[in-house]
Parts: sequence; C-alpha cells; structure tokens
Amino acid sequence: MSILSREATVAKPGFNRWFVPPAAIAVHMCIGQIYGFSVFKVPLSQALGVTGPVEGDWSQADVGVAYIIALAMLGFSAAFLGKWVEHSGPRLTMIAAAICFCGGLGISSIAVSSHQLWLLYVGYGLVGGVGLGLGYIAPVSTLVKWFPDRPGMATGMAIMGFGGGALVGAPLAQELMKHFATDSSVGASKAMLVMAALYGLWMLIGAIIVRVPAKDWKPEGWEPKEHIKPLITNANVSVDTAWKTPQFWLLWLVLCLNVTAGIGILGQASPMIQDMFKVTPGAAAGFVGLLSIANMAGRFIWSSTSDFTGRKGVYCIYFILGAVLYCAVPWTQGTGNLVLFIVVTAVIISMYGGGFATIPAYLRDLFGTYQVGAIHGRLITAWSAAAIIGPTLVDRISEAKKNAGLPPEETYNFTLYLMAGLLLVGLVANLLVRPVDPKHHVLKLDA
Amino acid sequence: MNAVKLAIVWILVIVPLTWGVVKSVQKSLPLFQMEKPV
Repeated sequence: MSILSREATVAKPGFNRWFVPPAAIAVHMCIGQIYGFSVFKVPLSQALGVTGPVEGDWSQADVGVAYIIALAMLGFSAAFLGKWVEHSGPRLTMIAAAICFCGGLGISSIAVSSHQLWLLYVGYGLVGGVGLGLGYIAPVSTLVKWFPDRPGMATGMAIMGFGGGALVGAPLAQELMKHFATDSSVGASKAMLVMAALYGLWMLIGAIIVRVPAKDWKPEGWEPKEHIKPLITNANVSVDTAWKTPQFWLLWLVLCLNVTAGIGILGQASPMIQDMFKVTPGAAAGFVGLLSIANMAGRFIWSSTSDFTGRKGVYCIYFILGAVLYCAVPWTQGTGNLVLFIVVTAVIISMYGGGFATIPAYLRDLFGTYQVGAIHGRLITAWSAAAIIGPTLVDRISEAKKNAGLPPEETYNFTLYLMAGLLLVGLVANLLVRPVDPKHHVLKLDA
Repeated sequence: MNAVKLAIVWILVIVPLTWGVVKSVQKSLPLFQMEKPV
C-alpha cells in the first residue's frame, strides 16, 4: 500500500478533524495565486525592454491568454478528472496538483527567461491549469466528509483559502520581482521559480496532513437525522447519474449566473471607481484590494451562514439582496458617498465569493458525499462559462455605451441593471431546485 | 503534543493570509486619505 493511496490516508481513531481544514486551506491558498496573476502582466510585457516595452516584447493581452487557458483548464480538469480524484484520494491528488501547478510555474519561469510565449501557455496555462482543477476539488470533497454536521462552514474554509490566494500571491510576486529586478531583468523569471518552490512546500505540507475519515466515522455525539430538511439527503447519487438530473443543471445555472454577476463588478472595479468617484489609479488599486478581502471573507461567512439558513435560503439572499444592491450602485454614485459605494460593492463581492463556497455544500445536500468531489468538478464548468460570458458582456456593453456618447460615470449603469436581472433569473433557478428523485440513489457504495 | 501540532499547522496558513490582508489594507489607505476627489 503506497503512502499516497486513499487507504493510507484513512484517519486512525482519535484523529482530530481540525487538522484537515489547514491542509485544505494550504492547497487552495497556493492555487488561488491565479487570481493574482495580473501582477505579472506589466513586467512580462516589458521583459526585454525592462524599463518599458520594446520591439519583440509580448503585449499584455498576449500574457493574459495564459490566465484564460489556466482557467479553462481548471474547468476541464475538474470535470474530467473528478472521478479519478474520488478514487485516488486527496493525498495523491494534492501531490499531483502540486507537481502540475508548481511545475507549471517552473516552466513559466523558463518561458520568461527564454522569452518563449508558447511555453508560458503550456506551463502556466495547460500544466498549471490541470493543477488548479485537481487542487480545487480534492480538499473540498474531503472536508465535506469530515464535517457532515457543518458542511457549509467546511467548504467555506477551504474555498476561503482560494479567495485569499490573490491576497498572498499578488504582493508575494511583487516583492519577489522587486528583489530580483536588475538593470537587465524585471525579475519575473526568478520570482516564479521561488514561488514554485514556496507553493510546492505548502502544498506538500497540506498533502502530508490530509486524512479521509474511516467509512463509518461520524463526529462525536452527532447522528445523521433521517428527515432534517427536504433538500438534505442521507442517500448518495453517483456522478454519472447526477449530471443527468435537472437539479445539477439548475445548480449549474445558479453558479454561472452568480459568478457572471460578480465578475461584472470585479472585472471593472478599478475603472468603475475612477469614473464614478474620480479617484486616482493608486486609490482604485486599493479598492480592488478591499474587494479581494470581501471576496475571501464572504466565502467563509456566507457559507457558514448556510448551515443555519439552508443552502436554498442563502442563495435566495445572494440573488435578492444582490439584485437590490446592484441597482443601488448608481444611486450611491449619485449621493457622492464613497464609503457607501465601497460598502455596497464589498457586500456584493462577498456574496460572489459566498456563491463559490456554498455550492459544494448544496451538492452534498442534494447528492450525498459519495462522489461529491467529482460532481463538484463537473459543476465547475459553470465558472469557466461565466469567466467568458461575464467579461464579454461587461466589455461589450461598456464599449457600446461609451461609443453612444454617455458620460463615463453613467456607462456602467446598464451593465449593473443587467447583472441584477441575471441574478433574478438565478433566483428562479434556485427556487426550482427540488430533492433528487430516489430512483437515482446509489444503493451499494463501492468506496 | 497534538495541540501543539494543530497550532503549528493553523499558524502555517493564518500567517500568510494575515500578511496578505495587511498588505491589501495598506494598499487601500490612499482611498480613505483623499480629502477631495482628484
């Protein structure tokens, strides 16, 4: 029996389950670096010229393609490798995630030093993206199994780590590039190499610590109730069946619309506050930083709240309160109250993060814990779809409104109202979610 | 012993996250130090 196998990670009696959340957070915090990838855009677009772009330097758009490939690969790998993740267990998966993600950073380092754009796409995009997908789903499904009494809080903790990844990754990359920068180099190549080593170490620590509960383990003093709430099942549904149910596709829509709306604010946060409140670019960057904190905190707070309100209830809050707040953003601009604007947008982004963190617990409620990681993996494709739909919608509409001659501060209003509309469609999808038909339940579990 | 190990692994994740939050808050200070819109 290999130390990486699922069997080797089964916890012995007396194991403290609170060791598992930091293992999950460690992995998510590392792969969440992708949210901070944008800090490489400017340095990599002047890698040859160092002080400014010269002939032969990559454009920022060229560099940004690596990020898009990585996000697409996250969706693909989570969807297609989910079953393997469930079968292999979290340790082997986390090691594979570390090899891919950190290996991808290592390849990117070579790509930057040899100035090969295709190698950056292969390294950060393809290889690193597979690491993202594997690293995203494995810790979440493990935590859900350890915390059957508080699944929302459990998934919130792990996915909070992913949100925090940008808070750590962006300044870390900036500090390292500053440290390694010379007259002939922007320091990005060496920074990536050091980050690969640091992240590899953290992910390895996570893989060593992680355990899965024994088959019949349950928290001390906790008994699964037969009929707690109609939407929470003690039965299990396999991934191959789950994705053919209407519940799966309703949740797919719920996640996709929640993320699309969130990206509507997040993707244009910096220009929006500059146009609406005439703040400096430096202050706008600070606003983006505050939104990142709200994004991270929302993942834990809202998901934990869902243990009390129910998953359907908390998504109703995201969609109703979200729609109201989106419509309120133009009004805050009208009042000229910057703090009010910041508070409203921070609450919106906290619910965007909350949507990510609550979805695995929602899946667990409807489909059980049996293959929840694999089901979550397939649902992640909603994120990939939203990552394309959201920015495309926002960019096209803002562009059209600017071309129509609207003043800059008013070009965002239509997008914001549209996002509120999308949230109301999400609300309908959420309200349509019903318990899974018992005919889909797995009678005999093989793992 | 177990409690010490548990504390160490939590510190390993809390320290970098806290560092990230502090950096972000520092970065956001200019937002609240503006006397007038520029």
